[in-house]
Amino acid sequence: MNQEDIALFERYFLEYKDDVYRVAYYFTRNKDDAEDLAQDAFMRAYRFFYRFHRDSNFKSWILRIMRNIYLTNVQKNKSTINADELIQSTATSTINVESNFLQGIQIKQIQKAIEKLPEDFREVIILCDLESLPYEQIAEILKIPIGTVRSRLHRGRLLLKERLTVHE
Amino acid sequence: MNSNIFSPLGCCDERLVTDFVDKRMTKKEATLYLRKIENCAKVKNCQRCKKLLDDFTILKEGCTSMKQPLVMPDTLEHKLLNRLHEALIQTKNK
Repeated sequence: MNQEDIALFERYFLEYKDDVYRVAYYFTRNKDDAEDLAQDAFMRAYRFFYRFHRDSNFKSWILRIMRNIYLTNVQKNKSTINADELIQSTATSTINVESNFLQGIQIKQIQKAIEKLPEDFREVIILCDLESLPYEQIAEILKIPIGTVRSRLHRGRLLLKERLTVHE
Repeated sequence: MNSNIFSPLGCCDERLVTDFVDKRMTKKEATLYLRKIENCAKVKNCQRCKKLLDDFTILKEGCTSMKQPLVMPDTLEHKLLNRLHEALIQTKNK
């Protein structure tokens, strides 16, 4: 890497470190694993920075790298799932709604329901509804067509709704 | 989303529902879509789509409110910067 690339990488690092860490936390559900995952993602991104197209979106690129590392780790060790820390660290606020299905539901119940979603649905909900990323960027990160992003979101939300309706 | 593709799609079609909930429609498209739903409710007495929109909108708000003000811990930031600098030195020495 030349000096220009190093400076660019450092700029990206400082700009996106919190986003990467936050998504790592949503993926892994605990802070220690999130630190490891974010660290691995940045180190791999650094190693392969020569492959990064300068006109592309760095955030999408590194989130895709991180997601691949995460999926590999999950396949290796499925016992890392621990929703408790995420649930404990969030305020137990209640959504004030008029709808029957979510009335009185606490945020932690939504979190629990998201945790239990199949991975394909969980990741699009995290990227769209928690991270507020546009479909185009989600499609880029997950390497799937926009239509699939939309379809997974819809099916994921239907599943969430179904599971949360039990609490009525 | 182009308004002329509304007609072949049922009002509960996932493309319309997600685009509305995620605010991917223009104001005009959203208005047309809401009109289509109202019409569906009047003509077919179908409430499903309206309910779906309301529930998904609330669900999305719930998810958005879960977003945490997490920042990368300073210790990790320093550790990573050090590792990056070490990697750089190694690259130079090769």
